[in-house]
Amino acid sequence: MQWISFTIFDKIVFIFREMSLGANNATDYIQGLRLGDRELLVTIYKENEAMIRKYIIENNGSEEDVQDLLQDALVVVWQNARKADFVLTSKLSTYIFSIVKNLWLKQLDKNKRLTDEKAIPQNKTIPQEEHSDMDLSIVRSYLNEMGETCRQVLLMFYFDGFDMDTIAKANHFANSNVAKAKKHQCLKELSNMVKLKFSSTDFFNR
Amino acid sequence: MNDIDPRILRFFDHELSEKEVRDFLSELESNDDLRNEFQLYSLIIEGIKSEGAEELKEYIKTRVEAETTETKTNIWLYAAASAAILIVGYFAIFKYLETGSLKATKDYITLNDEKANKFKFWNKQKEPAKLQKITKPYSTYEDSLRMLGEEGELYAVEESIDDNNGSNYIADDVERNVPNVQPAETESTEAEKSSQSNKEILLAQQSVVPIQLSGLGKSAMNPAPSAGIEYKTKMKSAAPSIKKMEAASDTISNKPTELASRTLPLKSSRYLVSIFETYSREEALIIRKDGNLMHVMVYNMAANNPLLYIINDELYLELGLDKIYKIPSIPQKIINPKPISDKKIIKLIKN
Repeated sequence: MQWISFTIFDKIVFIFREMSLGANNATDYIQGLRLGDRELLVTIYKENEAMIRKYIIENNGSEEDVQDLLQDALVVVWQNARKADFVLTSKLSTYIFSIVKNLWLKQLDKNKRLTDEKAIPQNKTIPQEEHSDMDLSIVRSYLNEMGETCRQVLLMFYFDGFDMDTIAKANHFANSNVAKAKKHQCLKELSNMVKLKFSSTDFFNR
Repeated sequence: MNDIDPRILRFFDHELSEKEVRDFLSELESNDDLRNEFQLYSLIIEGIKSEGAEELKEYIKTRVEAETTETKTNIWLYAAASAAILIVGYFAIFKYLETGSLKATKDYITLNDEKANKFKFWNKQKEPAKLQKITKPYSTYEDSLRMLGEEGELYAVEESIDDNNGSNYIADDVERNVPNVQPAETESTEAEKSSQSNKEILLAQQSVVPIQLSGLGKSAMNPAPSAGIEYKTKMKSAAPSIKKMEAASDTISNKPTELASRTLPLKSSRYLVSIFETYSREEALIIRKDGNLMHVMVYNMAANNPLLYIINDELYLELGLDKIYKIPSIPQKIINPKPISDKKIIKLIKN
């Protein structure tokens, strides 16, 4: 795609930036993120904001896109950092830039697809993904209605990816088995709430 | 509600082995109930991840905005501080180049020099009230009222020439030492003009040096007035009569008015005696004080050559034979004053 330009000058700036952020720095960041230090995300955001802004703005993006994409990229970094098999082979900024680039390309493709669909009217079908967003918001609302402990346990396990030992310590459970039982109990409670909302016929016939 | 199929939870928790995963996925294609259950839990777990992502993004957004605001505030603080330092530095360098003195520069910067005093509003004290000059025509009536509490800077006599009665009174001597006496036209009302009883005539005004008496006879001080009587034309004042003055005050005949505790120092540097006549013919003495001038106003008491005596720190006014009056030490009006009867003092003065 020609409109995504990356000039020689940008590359030079990028290389110097990479040099300024050493590999040790990236390792420290990943280690901190694994331990659950959210404040590091703010630091990483500010360190990479200018670079991402320049890229997005030069490629027909807006200031809002810059913020959204950078936040999404940091969510990915946050989740990946805790995966056992995650190894950062490049500089952190390079990794973040590649995530932002992929997200931005996906968004552009999605926008292009939506424009094409508007140009060529098809049969009235609700996009599956849009429908799914609505369902997700319902699940989220039920999750927020649950007790704080259940909410924390489910988020820590399924979103943050913490192991049961960490979850047990964070929530003052006796051990990881208690944490696992609590997680199972909370998930069942949430599923019951969702099942009440979606009758089995409605939900299963989607 | 049925229990969750344990394979579904183990699948999402990544606890199934590769073989178990393959078996589970193949069963999903053939088992509708399992597939529906799997879709439900897939949706729930996706919802949990979505909630976590939104929460984390909100956290990042809030923190970044807070730090940006803080940074902007700091930038303005730094800018203000830099500007202040530049301004102070500019004036310091300017003053040092001008004076070549570090002390003068320091005083200038710390607002300790004389020029800075006018900017120190917090150090300004209340300036004493300036005495205002009397600009309106003089009225003995108002002057008498004012006598109780005010001290005027200028001493003026209101006088008006009655064209209908143009005869002049000429005094014997010319006063040289009295304060400025300026003729002024009086804004008389018709009622005042028609009432002759309201008019008073200043016959003479005389600066007098008191004669100090002690022991058996007169002292060797100035035996006579040092200055003569000032020339006066016939002056008819539109001021109210003494009766009006009496009504305006609580003065009782021949009794000193109970004034505030303002006492006149007896030994003033100047003494002035004014002789008035009114149509009411009511005798009165008015004593007032203007700065270092004691003014004794004599009404309808027929005196040509008034003399003042100081005996035992008391002031006495002699208007002729057997007409010796004690002048009180505080400003007041005395209606129908009575001569003193102390034979020792009479004898002392007559001798």
